[in-house]
Amino acid sequence: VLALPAFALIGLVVLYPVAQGINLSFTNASTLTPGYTYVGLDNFKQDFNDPVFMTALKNSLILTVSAVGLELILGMGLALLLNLRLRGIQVFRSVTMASWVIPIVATVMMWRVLVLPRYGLFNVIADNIGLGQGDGDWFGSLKLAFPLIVTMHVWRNAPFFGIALFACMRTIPQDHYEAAAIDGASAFQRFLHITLPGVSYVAMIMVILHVLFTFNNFDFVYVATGGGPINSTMVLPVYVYRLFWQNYQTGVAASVGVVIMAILLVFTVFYVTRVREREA
Amino acid sequence: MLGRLTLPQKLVSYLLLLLYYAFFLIPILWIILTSFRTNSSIIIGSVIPKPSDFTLFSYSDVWNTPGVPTFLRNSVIIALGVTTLSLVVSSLGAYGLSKYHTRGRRSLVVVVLSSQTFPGVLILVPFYTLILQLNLNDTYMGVILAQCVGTLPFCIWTLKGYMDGVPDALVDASLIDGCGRLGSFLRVILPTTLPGLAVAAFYAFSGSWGDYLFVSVVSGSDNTATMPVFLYRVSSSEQMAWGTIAAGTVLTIVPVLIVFAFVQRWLVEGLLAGAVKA
Repeated sequence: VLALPAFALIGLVVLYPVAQGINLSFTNASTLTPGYTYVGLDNFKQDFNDPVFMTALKNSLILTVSAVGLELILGMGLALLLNLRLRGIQVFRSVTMASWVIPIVATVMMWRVLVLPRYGLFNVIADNIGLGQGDGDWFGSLKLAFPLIVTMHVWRNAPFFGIALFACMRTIPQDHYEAAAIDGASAFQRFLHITLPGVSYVAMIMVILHVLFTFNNFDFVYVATGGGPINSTMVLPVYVYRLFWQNYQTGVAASVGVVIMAILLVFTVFYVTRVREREA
Repeated sequence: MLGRLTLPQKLVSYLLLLLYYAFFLIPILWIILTSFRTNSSIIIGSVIPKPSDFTLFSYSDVWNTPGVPTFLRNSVIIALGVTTLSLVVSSLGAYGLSKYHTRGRRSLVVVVLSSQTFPGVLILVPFYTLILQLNLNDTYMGVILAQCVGTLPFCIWTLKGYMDGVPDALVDASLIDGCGRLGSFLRVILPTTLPGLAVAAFYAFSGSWGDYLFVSVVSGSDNTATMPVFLYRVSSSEQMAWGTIAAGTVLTIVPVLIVFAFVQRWLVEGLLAGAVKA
């Protein structure tokens, strides 16, 4: 009985909206007109014939694969470093999560100030080492805007990967390494056969969670570029927002949201089943 | 890892660490530096300012920007509201999931876990209508409810993990000793899961503090808008001096970093226990 309010609230703020969102995706609902009628799969057909949708879909996939891939590689490297016995390593460990806790809007502002034309740090350095000035606003650049979005994702999440993998490495018993060393295993072999298997479960869950986070993330792109220039950084969540908020096409917006959920479903199912196995 | 490092190995390790942390910390240090420089010093385009270029002007400027004191106050009120509501509701929910083995428990676990993975933008569309129907648009309660979408599932799951670690025998003993269910929850479960509560509270607080998506939709006016809304607005208007924008950004970052400093030592363990179940 004590638990009832919790599940009533989850029902109200999560389950009901998701169910209603799926429902709306089959309708012609609009914020401009009251009521709606069911239009079957029309919204989804329209989505896949919509060039902006296709661009957003492609960008979302590229962003997710490249950001999460880099986060895993950089995070693994960071974890190995944090696991070393070095003087002062505790200081590094304790500040690691700072970038993860900073509000995403603030992160975008920080990067915007870093890449300001003429007097942002990056352009000042580029100028001083003779690369000349960058071509104006980096976030307005067709070439640079998308890599910057990837970079900001990696900046925020790679330390979380690092600290999670490090925490996991610490639980690997030391005598495994000692035994392997006595048997003549090289440092790389010890990493391959002891460290990697030891962290593989945590690494897998972190990858799944960050695929979900990155693919669902709205703030980074919306605040940094709004999807521009000319949709070169458009991703699906920002497109949902635009359809809903600027085009008033509630039904179409919901259908894009459902596509996102469908793409992520396999990750959701995998996550839920693996974590439940672990729990039991 | 194994054994001691040789001196060259140590040097290489430190070098790599410095490279990593330069990447992570330079954006933060640069915005702080920018916030304390005069605007003429910013646009000169030097990395290190002269001592005479330091000023608190940007902070007084941002504080005197219409709306900013309200935004800051709203951020605090809403973040505390989300933290309180999330903690009360999710600790009770987690207690139910952890200590009552009733029918339907398994499906509730699936609901809680999968709720963490749904697209926020899909939830948002019907949620906006819901908020309008409940007459909660542009109210603190509306924004708080909206932000709980993101915080509740995680908080329930994390706390459940901690409560699973409390032996059932301890709960049973407290019941025999005459505590009611609620008494047992308040006197036995909660005190033994304090680190979990700290992690859940931090997650709720920082989630609310950093949220832009939900607050931008639910709050129709400046009455309930928060600092991220302000930052987004100045970033798209380009009317404001960069020093002032930097000061506003630092004001948005510092509170959450201070709270982070307090929970830092439990945070990783808690996040791993909650989301990853390591």
